[in-house]
Amino acid sequence: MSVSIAIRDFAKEFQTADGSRLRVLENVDLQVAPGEFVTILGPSGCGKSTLLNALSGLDTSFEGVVEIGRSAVGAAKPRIAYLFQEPRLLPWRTVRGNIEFALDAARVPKSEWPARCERWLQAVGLASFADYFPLQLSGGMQQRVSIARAFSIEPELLLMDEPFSALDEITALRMRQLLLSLWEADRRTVLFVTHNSLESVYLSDRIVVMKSGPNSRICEEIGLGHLRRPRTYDDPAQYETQRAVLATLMRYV
Amino acid sequence: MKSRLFVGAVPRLASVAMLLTIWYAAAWLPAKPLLPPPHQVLIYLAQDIQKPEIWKHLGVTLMRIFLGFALSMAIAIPFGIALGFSAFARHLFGSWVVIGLMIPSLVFIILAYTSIGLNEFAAVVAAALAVVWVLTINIWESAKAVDVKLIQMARGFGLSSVRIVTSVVLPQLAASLMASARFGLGLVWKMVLFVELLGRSNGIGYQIEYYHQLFDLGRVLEYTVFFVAIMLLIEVVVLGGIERRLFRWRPAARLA
Ligand SMILES: Nc1ncnc2c1ncn2[C@@H]1O[C@H](COP(=O)(O)OP(=O)(O)O)[C@@H](O)[C@H]1O
Ligand SMILES: [Mg+2]
Repeated sequence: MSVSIAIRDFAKEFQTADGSRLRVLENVDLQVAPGEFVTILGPSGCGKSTLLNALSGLDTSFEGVVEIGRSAVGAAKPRIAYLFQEPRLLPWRTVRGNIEFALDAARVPKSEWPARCERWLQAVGLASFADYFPLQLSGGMQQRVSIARAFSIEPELLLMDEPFSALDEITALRMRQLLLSLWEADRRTVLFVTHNSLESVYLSDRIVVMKSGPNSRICEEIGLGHLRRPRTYDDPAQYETQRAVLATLMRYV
Repeated sequence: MKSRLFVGAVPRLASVAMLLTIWYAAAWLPAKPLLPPPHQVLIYLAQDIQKPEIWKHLGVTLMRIFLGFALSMAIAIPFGIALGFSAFARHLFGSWVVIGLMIPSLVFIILAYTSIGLNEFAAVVAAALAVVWVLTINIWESAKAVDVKLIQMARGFGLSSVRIVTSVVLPQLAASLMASARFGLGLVWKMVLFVELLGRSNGIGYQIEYYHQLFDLGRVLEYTVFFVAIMLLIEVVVLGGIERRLFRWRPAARLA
């Protein structure tokens, strides 16, 4: 089960420290189809996290329309998982405890917890670390736990805010592979945020480019339907595409 | 194994040996000995711990420490948390705490004894007043350090506000409250000796002052060694044990 996203005429203002108003985003429009992997590519500070916060429900004070819908009507609130740049694990809970925390928050029945923990820790290669505490793991392993946590609630929408940008390059490459292999199993809707053009091309079905702020908006869309899945790192077509994407991005910073 | 011996046991033994050497050197100075030798102090101690007196003094001192500590924590925890989370509380009480911190402990002790009287209650209040300010600031700092990113994460997964307080905010505070408690106990026990010296007629602090009046430095050191050993035991074994159990998740560095 995945959901679609519709953002229309979205705008967001912040009150700054000196009392003036900073209009970060304006006229943002974005449609995402169910099961689509869309990446928002834009320079730091343009408002990408601000947009995700509105989508996740963490922020409700914005202008415009944000709809997360599914094809079947009358269903309950969509299940959303949010991945951040930092793992954001509870350090006093074990790896398993952290996954159970999310399952509990998402109201997954307790009887399903052991199987879900087992399955998703297996999927990220950390089955034997279930009883470790986060601070006993490396940064990359912690981020894998947070990926397992996100997938474990079987979300209909995955919001990812630069989840790999704090990792070293080799770890980040592996994590992107891991993310795609998990995602390709059942194609949940993904909205992925990054300022890394290589990452955006490797991962997504479609890239939307935001210009630098203030008054940032989505100013370009780049479809990646011509790149085959499963993606590999040595596909020359990807490098061609990345150059074009980078050139586009540079026009808006 | 060998390297562990050198980072662990050897320097520790060397440190004890050095301390004893310095002490003996000070005790056996040809002109005028500065201190009684350590074995003299140990002999006193070995004799006295077989008699009830020293334990009675320890008992009253521990009771004052416990009550003073409990009173200061009971004030510092709510105030520290309020200061950390509310700008209103900061404007209202922030400067009080800073001023309280600047006032010498001696003033609080004298104030408590003169306005309440020379009694047990005044002693406990004096000890609490002397440390409550720095404890409040300590807890205020930890309340400020509560990680809003974890709160945001929990909300992102749909956790209710009540559950966020109980399972995300309080566990974070617990860690720093425990640290504050150990810190506070260390302050209170030193302050209580002072309080006893100034206005009580029993307790370890009183005994130390009593032997000081008699110029019996051996007994002064005996009581000091005895008391420090007991407090070390409480600090390391009891509080350290609780902390280790509660905070197994923290890296080993904190346990030192
Ligand atoms: N709570 C806030 N108050 C004021 N300004 C904010 C706040 N959050 C973000 N901003 C500003 O909004 C802009 C966009 O921030 P953000 O969405 O975090 O950017 P990005 O995620 O694209 O790097 C930045 O200029 C930032 O300073
Ligand atoms: Mg951001």
